Amino acid sequence: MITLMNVSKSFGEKKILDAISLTINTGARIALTGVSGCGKTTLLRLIAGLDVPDEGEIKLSGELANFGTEIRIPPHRRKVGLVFQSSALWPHMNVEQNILFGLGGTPKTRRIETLDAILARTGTTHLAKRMPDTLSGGEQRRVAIARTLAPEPEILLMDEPLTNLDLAAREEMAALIRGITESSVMTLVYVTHEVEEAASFCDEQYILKGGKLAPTSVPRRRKST
Amino acid sequence: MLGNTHISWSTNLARLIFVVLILIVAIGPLISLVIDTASWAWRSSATDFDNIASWSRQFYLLLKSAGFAIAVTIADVLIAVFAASRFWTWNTRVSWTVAALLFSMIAIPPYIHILAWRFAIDWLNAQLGTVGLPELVFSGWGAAWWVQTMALAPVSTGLALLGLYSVDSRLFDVGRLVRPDIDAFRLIVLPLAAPPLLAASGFVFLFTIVDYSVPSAFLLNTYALEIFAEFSANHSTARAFLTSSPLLVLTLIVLALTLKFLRQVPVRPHLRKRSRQCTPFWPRWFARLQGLAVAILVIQIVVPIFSLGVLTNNWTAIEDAILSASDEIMATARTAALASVIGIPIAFFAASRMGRVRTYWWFLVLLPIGLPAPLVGIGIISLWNNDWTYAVYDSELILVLTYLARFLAVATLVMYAQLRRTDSLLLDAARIVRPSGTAYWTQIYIPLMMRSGLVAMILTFVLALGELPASLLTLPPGSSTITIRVYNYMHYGASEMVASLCLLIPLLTIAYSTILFLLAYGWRQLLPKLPRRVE
Repeated sequence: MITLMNVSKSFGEKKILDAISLTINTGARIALTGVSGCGKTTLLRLIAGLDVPDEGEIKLSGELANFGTEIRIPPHRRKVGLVFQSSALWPHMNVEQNILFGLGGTPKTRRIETLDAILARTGTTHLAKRMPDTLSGGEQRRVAIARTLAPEPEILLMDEPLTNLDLAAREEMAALIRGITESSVMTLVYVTHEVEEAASFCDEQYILKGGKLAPTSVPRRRKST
Repeated sequence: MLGNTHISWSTNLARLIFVVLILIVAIGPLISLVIDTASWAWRSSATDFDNIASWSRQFYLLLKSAGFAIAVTIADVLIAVFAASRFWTWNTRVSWTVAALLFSMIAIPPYIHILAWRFAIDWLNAQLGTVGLPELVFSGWGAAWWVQTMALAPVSTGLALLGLYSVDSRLFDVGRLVRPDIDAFRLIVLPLAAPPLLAASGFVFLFTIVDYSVPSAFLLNTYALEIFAEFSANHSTARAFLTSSPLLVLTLIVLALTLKFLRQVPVRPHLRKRSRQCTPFWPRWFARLQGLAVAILVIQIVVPIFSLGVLTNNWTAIEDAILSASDEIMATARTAALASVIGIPIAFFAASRMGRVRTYWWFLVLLPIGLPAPLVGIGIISLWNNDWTYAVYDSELILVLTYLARFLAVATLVMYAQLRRTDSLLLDAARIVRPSGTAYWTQIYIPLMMRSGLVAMILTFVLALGELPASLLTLPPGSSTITIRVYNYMHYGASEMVASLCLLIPLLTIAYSTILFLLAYGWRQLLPKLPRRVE
């Protein structure tokens, strides 16, 4: 469960998030929509622990992760996976190494099993030894998802994962994301500026406008705001 | 059609002139040395070669010099990595201010650090003596290593910071989500920042091994000093060149590697806003080393300021120093400023070709960075000391040529960085909307290049002010520079006079930078205003 209580964040004079409160239950799939620069990505980064709020509290599974500007849980202990819009694959590592990076502390046999399973699940087995700069945009996005899933996060954050893909790659990626989210109990926070795309993956939609968060559709699974 | 042919012809002529200028100014001294040596070898017998030097002694000296340069490089790179990793996590504006401050410390030449550290240690020893503690010994290789490390720490830290900023911060962020921050830094950021870090190592190594000013101040012999001594003893350019050959081989290999890494540095740094980003959780040992490195850099800045401040607390001494060295001050300022002004168009042309022409151009243009400084001086003597060019050789112009030969490569690197950063679409757009050649240059191109041009000019000026090993050889009779005067006084222990002269170096730099910026600003004000958009 993710709980945000009165979370605010400003960049200079501009208040991006204004006392936002939101509770996302375990296994829920919610979408955040809004125009460019409204603070969607910032909200994801706050949940992931990559940015610090100016005010407010963030709780993950009931545990206090942020208390104002104080960080109680560092990013790597939050069990959060984040898929960036730009894939952000490490260019000096091949696909396999990119995926294995997050399995640092696991025994070798378990790591190999997980790697094989993730590659198969995301349809990237044939890309295992390839370097990121040799992959197409769609392939890079698949590998980014595989890398995010490998450490088995409890919360999956996706930042416009279908942006800048051609139609065929978008459809393939959409099917992959749908398959992943429907077959797991991960909590999903999906950021997009396309309402239809949000509706196809998520049970609930929220719109960010003027730093405030508001629901935009009738929830299928009840969440409190 | 005719117009195009005309433009192409004049452009080619301009290119040819610049290529010739680069060949004369930067590569000319080396070419002249090679010709002199070949001619000497043709005339000489086998015994002449045997008399050049003791090869075993030279080999030992080379090892000693390389060991010294490696020790300085390791220390500077360690300081750079730990300090830069701390600055990197700060707010972008703050960390760039720190980087600018560090780069401005380049304005303090090595001999000011020698003076400052000697004074600081003497002062410290006096304090230790009052409480009955043993005095610190500040001499020999250890002292030379420390001073050289301090002198070059800003260069390596600045480049390391640039290296860290060349890594997209999102790559670090993704790693932070699955592994501790130190793992993400060690396995993701450091390998990606390796090219600029390795280039920084190469530059520190080269700057150390080609210059003898710091070791010689501690009465230590290095290979670069040996070249100077060989030439002073025999006045034979060929013998000096042959003596320098083992060092030359080493420096050219390091230069080639450095340039290889430099070419891998990404085009633009990733400057994302870092407003209250989650600061990395470093392990205690790493945070302590970061703190130590930052403290060393603070000391590096404070010690020269403190020492010079205490040493020159007497205004009469400063006045005396200025009056007694007024000729040197004027000559140094004049020649350094002239070198920086002449160097800019040549550096700009050289840099613009670096983007297009193959590796050999890179190597040719940047070759002087890898040349032992005394060898550059000897090469200039060999090139200009003849009947046809004696008027140049016997005038202050020879100092200008010396500074250009040594530092044109540095100015070229600055201009090259700007050219790589400039979006070519901006220039294409300017060509389309404003086809007049003059308007394109004065309103688009020069303003885009202005800031880097000024930085390159100031850098050339600063480096020229502190130049010693080459100008000591090429100095025309009856002239001197501040640096040479300081260097001579330093050996006589005239601390007050030396400190006063040292203080003039940063003051001259500030004055020159101010004049340049005022001129640049004024020039832009004089431009015809761009037409306002018609609604």
